[in-house]
Amino acid sequence: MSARSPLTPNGVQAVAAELAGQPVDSEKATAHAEVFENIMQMIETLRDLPIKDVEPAVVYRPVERGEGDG
Amino acid sequence: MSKLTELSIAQLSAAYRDKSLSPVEVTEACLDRISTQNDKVNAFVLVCAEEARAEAKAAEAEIAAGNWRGPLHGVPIGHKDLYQTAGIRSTSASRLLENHVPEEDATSVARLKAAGVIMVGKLNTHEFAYGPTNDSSMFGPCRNPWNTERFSGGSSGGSGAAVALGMCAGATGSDTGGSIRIPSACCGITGLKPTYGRSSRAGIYPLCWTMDHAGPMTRSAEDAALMFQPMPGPDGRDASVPDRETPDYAAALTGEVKGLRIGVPKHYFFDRSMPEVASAAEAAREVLEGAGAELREIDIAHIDHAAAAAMVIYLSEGTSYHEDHIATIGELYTDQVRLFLALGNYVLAKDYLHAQRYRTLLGHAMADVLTEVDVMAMPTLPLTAQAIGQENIEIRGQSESVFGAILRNTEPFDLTGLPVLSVPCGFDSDGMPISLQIAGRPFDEASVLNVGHAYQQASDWHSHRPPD
Repeated sequence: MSARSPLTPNGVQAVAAELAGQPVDSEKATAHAEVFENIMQMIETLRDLPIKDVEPAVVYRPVERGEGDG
Repeated sequence: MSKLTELSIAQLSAAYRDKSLSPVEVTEACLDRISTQNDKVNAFVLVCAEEARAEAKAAEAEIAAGNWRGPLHGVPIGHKDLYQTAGIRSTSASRLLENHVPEEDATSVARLKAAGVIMVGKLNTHEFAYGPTNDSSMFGPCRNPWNTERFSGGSSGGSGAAVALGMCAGATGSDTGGSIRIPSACCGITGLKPTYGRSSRAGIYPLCWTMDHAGPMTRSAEDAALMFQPMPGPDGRDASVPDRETPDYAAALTGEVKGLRIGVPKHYFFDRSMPEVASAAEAAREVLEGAGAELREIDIAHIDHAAAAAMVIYLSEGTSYHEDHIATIGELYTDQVRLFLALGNYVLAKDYLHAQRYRTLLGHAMADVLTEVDVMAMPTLPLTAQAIGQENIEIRGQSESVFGAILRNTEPFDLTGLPVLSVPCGFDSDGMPISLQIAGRPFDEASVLNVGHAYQQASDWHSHRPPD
């Protein structure tokens, strides 16, 4: 697994504004960075799982009229 | 609790048929109960008294005329406010939908209505079902009927508190990370999370499309079987629902568990639970052993990653669903839900797919276990209901967030979509309920209901009611 740098408020602020289109102020960015760093540490454990040949639980199903799709 | 509001769905049904009781007097008793009990717990957020009285009169007339629709006919229930009810305000406990009146019923609402239930009102929920405590709601927190300083559990907290207090005989709930089983356990009632896709989610506001489940919350496994009966099956509105035969769930309640192999996963489920909770669950499985079941210790591979995967999926799917509103009227969400929706912006697509691939891995691990045992039994929650607003808890010397702890034992079965029944199995030293959950093979709700029923035939924890 590649090494990851800890999240920074600046990084969070850039993602929120430049990727998500939902900018946050610096105070919120600091709070988000702290909370999401903890979540990222959990998420990283998923990257090491033996899932190379495992398909995701969500797979596309061709749509047929009459089946209903919500 | 008055005698009428203590009666089970099965007892009400029998009494209606032999005309010793009428839906009118039972509905009136529930409305009285709501008027005296609801203020202390904040379970009902809308009471539909006049509509309920009219439905009760109609049910009474239909039954008298010989047009009995089945065991739910004339039974008063409540719907979680996440469920859309035609012509009746449905808010998801959010200011975003403060005045929202849907035009169409959710499929489960329509099917229960066709089965003859009487809807007495709408029930509090964690805002958009996005939390396990019911602390965050436009209506204020739902309180625990056993101790009103504690949370009811969520997200279907109103359903848990209302059923526990006898304000209705059953209620609907939805379960994405544990939202049927958590309030059922916290409030001391029985809750069924069915197999993913067994019952339609159409007309229920989504939290996570790939993990949302709809099911009943009642005071016994027998009542859960009766209330769930009309809910399964395709509706043309929810593509996750396969066209499978629906068993007669009540007929499957033999109470017989002799020779049944029950898997007990000590790692993760027992060894990270409060000692009092683990002891009560161990005592419960011994009751089942005494009834003839065979207990086997099992180990579920990869289980330790369940919380990480569930978190990634909540954040990704929740933020996707709410994308439009976050940007435009985000200030209307409660603080906690708004934070979760913002955090979803930072999840990478590859991590979402890792989480979805992990689900397949965990599904195989559980399927392997379920070739060796028929069901699995473990504590529903590793803790009991805590103080409203409490953020952290120490369990066996480890400090952790209440949200993380409360979801730990329930999330694996939302990830794998297996059917699970939560049944009361004791109380802690503070008098707060403890529950056991019983998980089974895909689409085998009948077995988990029967194991729960067998346990309730041999114990009386489910018959304890909160003090008035």
